[in-house]
Amino acid sequence: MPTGDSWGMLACLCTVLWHLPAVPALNRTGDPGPGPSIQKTYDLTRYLEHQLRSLAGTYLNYLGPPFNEPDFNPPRLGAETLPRATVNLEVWQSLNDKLRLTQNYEAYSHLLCYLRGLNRQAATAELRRSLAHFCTSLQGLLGSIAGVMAALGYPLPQPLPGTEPTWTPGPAHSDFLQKMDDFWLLKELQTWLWRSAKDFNRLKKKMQPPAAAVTLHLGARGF
Amino acid sequence: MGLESNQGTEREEDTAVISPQDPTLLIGSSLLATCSVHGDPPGATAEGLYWTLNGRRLPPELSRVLNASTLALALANLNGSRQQSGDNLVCHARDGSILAGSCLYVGLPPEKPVNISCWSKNMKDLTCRWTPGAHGETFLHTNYSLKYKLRWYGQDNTCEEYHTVGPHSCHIPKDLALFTPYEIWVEATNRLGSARSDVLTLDILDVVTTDPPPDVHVSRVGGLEDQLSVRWVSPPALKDFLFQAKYQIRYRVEDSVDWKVVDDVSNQTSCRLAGLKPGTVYFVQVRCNPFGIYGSKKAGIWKRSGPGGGACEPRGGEPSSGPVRRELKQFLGWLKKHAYCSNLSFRLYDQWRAWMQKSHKTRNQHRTRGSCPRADGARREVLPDKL
Repeated sequence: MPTGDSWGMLACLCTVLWHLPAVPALNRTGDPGPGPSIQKTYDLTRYLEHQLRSLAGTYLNYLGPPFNEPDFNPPRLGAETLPRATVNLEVWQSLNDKLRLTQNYEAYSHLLCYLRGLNRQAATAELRRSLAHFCTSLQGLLGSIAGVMAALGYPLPQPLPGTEPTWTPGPAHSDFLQKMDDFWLLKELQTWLWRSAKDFNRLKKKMQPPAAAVTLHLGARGF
Repeated sequence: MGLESNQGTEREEDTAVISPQDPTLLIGSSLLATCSVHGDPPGATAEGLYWTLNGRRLPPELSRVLNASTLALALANLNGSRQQSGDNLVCHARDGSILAGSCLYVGLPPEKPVNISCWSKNMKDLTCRWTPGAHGETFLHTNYSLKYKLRWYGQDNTCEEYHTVGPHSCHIPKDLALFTPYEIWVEATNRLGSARSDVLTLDILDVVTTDPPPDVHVSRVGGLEDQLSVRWVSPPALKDFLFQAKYQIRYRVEDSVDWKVVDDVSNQTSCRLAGLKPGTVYFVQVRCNPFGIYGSKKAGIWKRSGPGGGACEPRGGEPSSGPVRRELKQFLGWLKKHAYCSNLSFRLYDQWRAWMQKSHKTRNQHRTRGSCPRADGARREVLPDKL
């Protein structure tokens, strides 16, 4: 099957997301640290996971069988440019905080862009509304990740010149291929949200103050 | 942790093409499709390939090997598509993996939309609604586009805010002209064709209507058992209008379907209903009809109050209530002036009426209780007559 250029065509919209304004670093004097933002981001990933379950169910029913069958596993051809969540366990464990956050941020920037381009003219108005609502929530997650990065002093990833996704006209993408691309987009979103929950849980544990410091604090107060 | 990479599904070596790609067909028509394999190593065979349609394997007798690398499929008398995104026709390799797919769009062209109706809530916007013309479904996604233009100024405009009051509706929020009629129509388009509704010609002023008056309240009138007081607030949009409001009230008892209508409430925002049945639940609705030099012919929208509501004193209702009260009012006024009865008032009269009704009821109960012996000697309770 020929690989289409639908991702490339839609990716022109991604350039907007690369220019999100940098979130100013939090005032660190006396602030509780990045812990609350990390918790919030974790909570958001769980919420989005829940939202996606419902959205994906409806969307796959719209695509029709076999797309909505539980064991459906089509070839992954046109969706090569989708950011992949699956990764070797050791590689994942060894990621430093900056890289872990950057990978999350870049992945959702791309995914959000593709999701916005999910231009299903034939979809029902209700489905279009659900998609729009999910995009808004995903935008919120991106903002939350940006907040964590700023709190930890990491810069937001900027596209390198030449690697920015650009629009190139390509052969017309068949409707069936488009359905497969949509399927993989939803699948990849789901996998990323599972992974992000683990990423932020890991970060949360790293940011917790050590137990000894808490004991000393209580001792000083005469408890 | 379960994050190992999944390598199972990429098959760059097997490719195939289905022809036709994404065809559109009328219900009942036939389709001849082919799946051509280009394999590596070269000479990959059509042997073992099979078709599925919407996930279900098609009977082998519908397929035929055309040549070494091509499998054909013949479908006859097609039904309408199962989903509007198209039926999924898939060519599979012997092991079940997907080689190629094609979406089939089987349906009917649209029929012309009908029953366009439009209204404006504030003379600046317009909302229209229509009914799709199809007796049954078209099975294809059908796009509706509401168009409008001023009658003598040729430019077509397209409405952009759809689904505002239901699936077949559109809202034009601004830039509408008054005093010149608009021509409005709906175009329906799908993959098999298009259809256009009849043109509706209207002047915005003719279809202006108001939202119902807010805050309709109904309450008892003192101790009176046959009257209710209805109050409401003038709709806020009215102050911008070029016409006045005339309220209209309708009411019915709980278990009736017949409404009694009070037409001329003029522009008051309260009304008293009289001549009602005591101990009965009434439903009341109030609406605001535009009238006046620029008045619309379109009726307002009814607003309901809760149960136990009342309605305005009906015209030609109880013959004794209207003229009697008027005369009584005049008499009381004269009395106050000439007879030093300064504390006389309608309120006092109503209190007297309430007292009369209560004592009448009590008298009836005393009279009827134990006073209707039956032929067999047993006693029967009789409820007091309604006043």
